[in-house]
Amino acid sequence: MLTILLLAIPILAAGLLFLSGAKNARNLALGAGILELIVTVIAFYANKQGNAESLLNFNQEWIGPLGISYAFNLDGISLVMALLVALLLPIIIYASANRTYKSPHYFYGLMLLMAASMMGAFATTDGLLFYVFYEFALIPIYFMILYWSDNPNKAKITLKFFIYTLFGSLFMLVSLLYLYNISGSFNMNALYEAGRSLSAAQQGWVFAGFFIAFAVKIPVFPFHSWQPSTYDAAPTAGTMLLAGIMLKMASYGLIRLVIPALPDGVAEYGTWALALSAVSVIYASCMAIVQQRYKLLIAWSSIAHLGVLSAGILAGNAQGIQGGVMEMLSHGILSVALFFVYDIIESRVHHDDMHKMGGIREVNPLFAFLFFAVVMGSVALPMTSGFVGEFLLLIGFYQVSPWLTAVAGLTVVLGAVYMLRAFQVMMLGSAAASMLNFAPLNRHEKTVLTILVILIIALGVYPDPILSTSNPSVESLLQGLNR
Amino acid sequence: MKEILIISLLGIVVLALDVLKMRKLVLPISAAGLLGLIACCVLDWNHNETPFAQYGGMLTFDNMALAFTAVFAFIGLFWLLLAGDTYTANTSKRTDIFALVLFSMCGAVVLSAYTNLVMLFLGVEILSIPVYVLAASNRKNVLSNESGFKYFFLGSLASAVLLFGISLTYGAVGSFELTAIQEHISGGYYSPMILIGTALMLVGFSFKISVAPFHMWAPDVYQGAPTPVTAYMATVVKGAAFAGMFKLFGTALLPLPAAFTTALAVMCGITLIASNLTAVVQSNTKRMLAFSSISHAGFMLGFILVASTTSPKYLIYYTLTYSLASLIAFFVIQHVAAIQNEDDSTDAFKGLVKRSPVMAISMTVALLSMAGIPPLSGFLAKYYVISNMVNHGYMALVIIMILTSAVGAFYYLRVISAIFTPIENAGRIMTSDGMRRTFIVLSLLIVVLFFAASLLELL
Repeated sequence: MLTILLLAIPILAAGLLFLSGAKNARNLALGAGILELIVTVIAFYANKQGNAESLLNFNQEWIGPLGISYAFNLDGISLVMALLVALLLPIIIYASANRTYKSPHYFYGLMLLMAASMMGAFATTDGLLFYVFYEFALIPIYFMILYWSDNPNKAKITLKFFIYTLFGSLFMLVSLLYLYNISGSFNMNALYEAGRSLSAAQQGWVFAGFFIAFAVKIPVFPFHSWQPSTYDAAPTAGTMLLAGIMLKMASYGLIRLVIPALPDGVAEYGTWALALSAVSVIYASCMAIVQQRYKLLIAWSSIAHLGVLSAGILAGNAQGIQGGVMEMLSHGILSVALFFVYDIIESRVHHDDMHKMGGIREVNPLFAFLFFAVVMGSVALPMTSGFVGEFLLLIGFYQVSPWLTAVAGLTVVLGAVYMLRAFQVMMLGSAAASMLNFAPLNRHEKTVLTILVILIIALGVYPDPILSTSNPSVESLLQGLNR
Repeated sequence: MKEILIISLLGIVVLALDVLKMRKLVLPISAAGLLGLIACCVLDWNHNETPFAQYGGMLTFDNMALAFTAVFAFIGLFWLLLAGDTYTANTSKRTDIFALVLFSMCGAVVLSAYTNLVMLFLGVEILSIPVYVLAASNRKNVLSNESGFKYFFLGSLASAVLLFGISLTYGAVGSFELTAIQEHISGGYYSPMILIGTALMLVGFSFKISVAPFHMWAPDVYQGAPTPVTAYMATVVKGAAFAGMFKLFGTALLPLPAAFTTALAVMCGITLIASNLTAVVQSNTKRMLAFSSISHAGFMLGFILVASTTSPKYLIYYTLTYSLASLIAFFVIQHVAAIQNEDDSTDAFKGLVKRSPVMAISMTVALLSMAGIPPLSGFLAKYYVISNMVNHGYMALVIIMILTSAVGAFYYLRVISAIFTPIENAGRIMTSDGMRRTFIVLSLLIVVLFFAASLLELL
């Protein structure tokens, strides 16, 4: 019941926005976002109390004879992901008050539709439905970039983004169909059984299909080339949605579909994927170090962090997956915070060339302080959310391949290099002339940044509510796997 | 019986209305007639115990024939509604064109219900001959004349090949009946004569459904013909040819020799590759849609490949969803081109979202559906094909389908991208209320058919 509510709220609100016109569009969307958050929190409580099957579960036949149903279930992992959506959605909407978008009702309507499809992907237990939601999330973001971006190359960039991800996900469809052909049903448990009944070589092929799909979207080197330009071209709210939530669908897909269904395939061919993830970490970190522009630096740093994420998950043990769940939440919050910092700077100085900035701390110490807290989270300092996730991921990874872990572990060092350098260049030193009239943070900017910083620290100090929620589901997911 | 009577009388009545100078009634009466045809199909549903064998058993309206007929009538209905808004200036021409389309639809009904190779040939001819005329109906336009001429020339050649194939088969079996042919080859032995006959029939059909390597005519004909006629060719004509082909390969020619399955699979593959790669470089939207139509024929050919073990309902679903999207796409092109000197290049679509929001959104839905993006019915249609291919182990074809789908998204998105690119001082495109309503209904149908796909399992 609650699950359906979580899907219905954004869809209905989007419909209302499309029909009602531009007046108060943002407030209406914000209301829907907050309502979504409240429902998610209730679902969290229901899960904690236990015996909430009827609240969190929904199953209705869609195409019966073909074994496809509208099946949703919020287990621990899904709940954390739902929290990610429901927490970030209102924050992103509230953070957009900085900007005025043309036809705001369509803009926020598309945003809500996207939230709905991501919520659906995280909640469904039907393989085909997962594909449908996964794929549909592309449409709103495609139009958000195409219509609301200022980038002169947006047509080309959106096309590349769309084709690239569509191309990847079609491979997932083939893999899903291959499993479905054995199971006769898209129910995920049936898909798991079907996957495990395959020989290691067959599992390897199916794994390859899934991995291409998810590697494009996570993204993992060498499938990443769409990402920096797309982040750059998207309006900030769109970038936040992309980096904060949408790309997590792929890493979630690894946890939900690949690890339980294809244990032998992962064991046999996973090393390739792990190596690619490790390369991805180093390559993206190096690219981040040489960037002149802050937004691109964040884009590349995102690839580096997600490389660790995919490596930890593909390690396929409880620590790795727990770390993955935690890191998805933490990275979502951190990306939104980092891109919000971009938005604040860009709205004042109208560029993001770091070398033309400097000394903002002198003019605006509060902003510098909050930004510093975000940077600390991003370099995974202990007591921040980033630390908990990456630490668990690296533990999980270590059990599979100590050498590759040593490579991927460099992310912490390299991350500190580019993040601290960025902070130093932009914030410290004596104030450049162009920075002197850097306006103080307004009320909602303060609110958003403060909330995000509190979240980053709170989750770092006390991650238990998240970890204990996802733990039973991770255990049951790994049950019956021989490692 | 009723079905074939209704559709053939309808064309004659429409012609009579022209003579009686009651041209205003043409659209209402033909629409009512098609609705009546759909109603008949619904009423006759599940009369399987006593099949409606007509004309000495040469036509049988079983459930599948009824479903195909109803779908063609449904598509025809929307075609009439949209074309009614296009052909308003010259009402006499409008009656002629409507009558020709209705006559041609009679062939579509025959092709859905035939159980006899003579009827198959008659169906193909009744379907095609009015369309030869329709393609050239824009008499003062050179391209339209070229289109009609090309279509007629190559179309009659294909008909001749088909007829030769039929006669060879008759020579070997001694009967035109599908059941007799099936009995004759049920042991799996194909005499050389039937082998050649089957090959020739395959060639004839391949031309009609425009799959490679018999697709060369389609881009020129589609581009040159008046856009509403192109819309009709891409939907009903193609769908009917597929219905006929499915029946032949799914009921009569069983078991199909391995050589033919290989041939079909190869044709399917090269159709997909050739059409999609060529579509990418087209700057003219109509020509691009012609290649896209060939590409969809490639997908539908997948159903023919597995016709012996698959229910035709998935082919019906594909035909329906593809036709709905095609109707939107071609008629939007018609109206966009009409106000800018018949310019139907991709650039002509720039700023459409401001100039006509309804057409812009409908076109977007149609193109995304053709590209196979959920939650639009085009996705499920493609899903059914690919699912069947995986099921029968045609993994190479599956990979080709996947790759070409991604290529397909490229050229569809280029148009969408143009639609949402703002331009300076864009004038609004005036469209009638009725047409906007039809476009909205069609777009909604494309979405609804996705969620209501379980209805298909009732067939």
